[in-house]
Amino acid sequence: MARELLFSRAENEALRQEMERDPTVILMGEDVAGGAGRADQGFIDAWGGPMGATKGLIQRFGPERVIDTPICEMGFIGAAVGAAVTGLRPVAELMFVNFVGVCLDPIMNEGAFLRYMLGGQVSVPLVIKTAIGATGRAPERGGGSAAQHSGSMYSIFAHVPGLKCVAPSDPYTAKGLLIAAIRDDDPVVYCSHRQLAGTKGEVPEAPYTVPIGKARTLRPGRDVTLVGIARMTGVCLEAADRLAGKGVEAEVVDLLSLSPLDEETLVESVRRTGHLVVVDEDTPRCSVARDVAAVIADRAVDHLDGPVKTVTAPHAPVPYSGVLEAAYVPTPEAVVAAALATLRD
Amino acid sequence: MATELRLPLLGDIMTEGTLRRWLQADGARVEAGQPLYELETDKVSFTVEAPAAGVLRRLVTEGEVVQVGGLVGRLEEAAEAGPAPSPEPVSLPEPPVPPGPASVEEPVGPAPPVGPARLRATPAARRLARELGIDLAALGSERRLREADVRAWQAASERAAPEATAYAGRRRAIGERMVRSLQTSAQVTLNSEVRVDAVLDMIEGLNREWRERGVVLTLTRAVVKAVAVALGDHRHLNVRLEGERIVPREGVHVGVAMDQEAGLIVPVLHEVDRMSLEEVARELRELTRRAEAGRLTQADLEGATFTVSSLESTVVDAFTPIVDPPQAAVLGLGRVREVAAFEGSGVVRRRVATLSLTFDHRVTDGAPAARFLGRLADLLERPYLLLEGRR
Amino acid sequence: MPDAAPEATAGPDLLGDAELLRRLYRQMVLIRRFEERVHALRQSGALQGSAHLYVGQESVAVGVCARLRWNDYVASTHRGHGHAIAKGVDVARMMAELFGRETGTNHGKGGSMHIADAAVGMLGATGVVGAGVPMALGAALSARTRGTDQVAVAFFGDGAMGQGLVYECLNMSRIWKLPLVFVCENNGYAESTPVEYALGTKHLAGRAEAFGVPAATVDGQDVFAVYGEMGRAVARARGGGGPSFLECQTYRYYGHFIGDDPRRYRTAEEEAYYRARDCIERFERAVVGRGALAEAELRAIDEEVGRTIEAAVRFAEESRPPAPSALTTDVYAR
Repeated sequence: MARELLFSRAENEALRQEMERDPTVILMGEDVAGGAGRADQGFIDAWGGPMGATKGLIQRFGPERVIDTPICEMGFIGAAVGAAVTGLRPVAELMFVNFVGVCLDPIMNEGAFLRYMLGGQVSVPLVIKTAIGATGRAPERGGGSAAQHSGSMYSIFAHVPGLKCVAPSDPYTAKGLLIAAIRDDDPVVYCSHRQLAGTKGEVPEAPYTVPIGKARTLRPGRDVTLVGIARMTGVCLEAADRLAGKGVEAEVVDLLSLSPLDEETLVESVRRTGHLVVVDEDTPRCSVARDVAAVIADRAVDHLDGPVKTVTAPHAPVPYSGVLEAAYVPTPEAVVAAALATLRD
Repeated sequence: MATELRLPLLGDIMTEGTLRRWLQADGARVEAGQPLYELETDKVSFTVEAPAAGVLRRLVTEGEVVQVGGLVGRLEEAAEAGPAPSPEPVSLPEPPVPPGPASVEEPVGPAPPVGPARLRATPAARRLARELGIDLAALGSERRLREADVRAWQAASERAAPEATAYAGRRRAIGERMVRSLQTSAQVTLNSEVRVDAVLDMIEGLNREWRERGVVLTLTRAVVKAVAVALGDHRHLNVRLEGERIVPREGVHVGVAMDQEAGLIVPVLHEVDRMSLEEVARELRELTRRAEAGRLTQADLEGATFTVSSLESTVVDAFTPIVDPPQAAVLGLGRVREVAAFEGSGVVRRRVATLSLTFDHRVTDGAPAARFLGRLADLLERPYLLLEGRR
Repeated sequence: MPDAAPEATAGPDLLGDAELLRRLYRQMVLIRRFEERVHALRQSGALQGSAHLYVGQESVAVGVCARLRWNDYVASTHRGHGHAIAKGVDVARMMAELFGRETGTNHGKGGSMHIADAAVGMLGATGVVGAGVPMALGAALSARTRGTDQVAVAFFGDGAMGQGLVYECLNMSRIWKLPLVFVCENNGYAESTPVEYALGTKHLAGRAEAFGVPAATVDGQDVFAVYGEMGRAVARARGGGGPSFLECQTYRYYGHFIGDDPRRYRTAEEEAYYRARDCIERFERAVVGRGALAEAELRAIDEEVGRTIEAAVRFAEESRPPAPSALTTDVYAR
């Protein structure tokens, strides 16, 4: 029987099952448990991470494997790299992806490049688990979390050789990709959209992996390919429903893996549909969306029957005001308009 | 001193040509060797280059039909291309004039290529048009052409009622040559039904053997080879009637009629007598490709004594082909049919095709022509004979 | 735990300055009423934006900023409303910013965590822990290079003491003798993580001294103590004596952000201990008890502050949201 689980609980289950399976898996980050050091006062596991995804793990695995850190991203993520090359499989939580500004060095210059620089002597089996995305709060009620806590920015990781980067779109892919990331011998940045944390979906109880480097086709269609990333996959599905009402059969491809990129699935789909719309909440310059567009321009150009469209955030930081935030994030309406533009322009 | 631009003679039977497109603006300064205009004859398109440097003066408009040797334009020296500059300095306080002969409307110097605005079409539309052999320019559209437009055009052109079009260009050239042929020669057609079971079996077998080599043999290609062999034995048909003389031809040069969008075209396979069956198949395929790509040269269209015209892939059983003077004869090939035939007292299934030989009675007579046809039938019924012979 | 709640430590010189006393009181109350109003708006659902409340720590911002001139610089944190109000930012425009309105201090683009007003030296707040400290260092460097006597203040929390860049800044401020005051607001918690877990030693002043930066530890719930120590630090900075470090021991009454329940990591007894030492109540006991200001005077200030806050909410509510075209303005200077 299918079992429904919250996205954040699916992540929790992935972490728990992997930590049970493999004693070298550890979790570290700011407030991954919370209230650290106060077990004697009856306080344990106050937070379980900002989305509650790591709640309960410290009771099961203890403070040696569920480690609250001071606020020092450069230090503890650097330490996670060091632990990874010496026999552990750390999952380091970067609370919001914007904080990569504090710790890009250990992620890129050490975590991603080390294996190559050392001529393959070491592997870096590290997971950086981070939250992405705008808040989606009601436009008329003030605002969201603004520029430093709402970015997507995964294109930074996709750009770095040696790093892998995945972005689940529902509870099923959350659990499967997180387990795959933990079992992977390379550093993987796992991007969890904050608005997906509270969504529900079917999740098998037994451990399983969703392969890194593979996109999945969620809905077949022959007229236009809609490619979604993380929460934008749901936006694509909604757009596909609306397009169906206009007689347009949209195919929805859930990218899941931003690096490596599943070029075959993308090329194969566009060869059939002849039209591509890539939907990405990240900003457009040097983005994953434009990268997908470039792959298609390179490998499927003879099958393109209209311009390639990308629907992305504007080239601007995320605004606070709810009105502006709502205008910032791609909507199903914008995706429908882009699909019709490539079909009819 | 101006250089006159006259319509060049591109082939032995060319009398006129259409100036399809100027490639340089009127008044443009061109260098020797730069492309000047596109010339279209009944058989080929040809780009004419500037024979010398100079400023172009066009004398005919695009689309005009010009006789061979007719004046189409001039290449003038710069000084004669416009009003001469005033020899005296102007003393009145007038606004300064630009020096030299440049006119405001017509810039001197290399002009941007003229031509229709760049066609807008999606890559998918271009690919499909390529596959279907459709010229996208024919679709003409204000907006970007899409794959669906090409499909629709293809579907429409397949079922379209024929519209009146101008009797001109290649169509007219073909027509007038056919009329001239019938009016000026004495044509006789002989038909013969030949058994093709053996040759078809051989073709099937050879194609299996040759698959790796990329060679494809068809009945038409085998017939071309058979014609070459038979012409070697029947020299009276390997001739051209040129004016007052019947001129025998060295080697065997066979024209092969091909059906194209713009009309019939007959490229020539030269020196077929020197080719093996495999080479004939290979070379005919290459000739077909060049014809489809519009890359035939004048040499590809000249020198045949004999033409093969095949309707093998149609529903036509037999027809009366027309000789293309100064050639001596033309062979028509109809479709392969299955017939019931007596073999002893029994009835068997047999595959046959009709060969129709039209010859010009001015160069030979019925009996030798019939013997030629008989030799062809023999070669097709004993096709291993096609495998021997000269290389 | 609770020893008797002490009075604020006002000396006779301060008690004689009625105008200063009124100003300190009004600002502390203004911050508290503002924050409580924001809390109420969030509870009612009228506001949804992220916000981290300053309630409990008012005496730190007010004591520090009371020593600053209008054009001195302040770099703030995610918990920055108090710093902004104490530095003189208009509460109506702050409220409008929380409402995401065009009339807000940041025209609706920054929200609670990034309130700034360059006109009063409020450089703005950053939500990245510790990131404001080098900003203030840069402002101090700029002031000295331009030859002004401006002073810069870096507010940061105990959580930032985990970040390496704070120590880089201590070092740079000392070697360049910059007019910079490090104000560490130790409220006991980095998000939910207690300071005794996250910091290896309680003696934060000692860390600054190790870099050669003069340091002091004060009772941050006593506005006079903060004001007094800040006076020495600012005098040192303006006089060319270089940086100072001030640890203000304080407490936040609410959770890390609105929605965080602090009882998940601290006891009711602990909260009661600090609330018994509430900075505003201590101030009032000291000032009224010694006859420096009449109680009626304070109540009049309370009323005026209440009206100011309500006017701010009305202003925010009546202001328009930004036009969608604002989405891509101010990404670049031009």
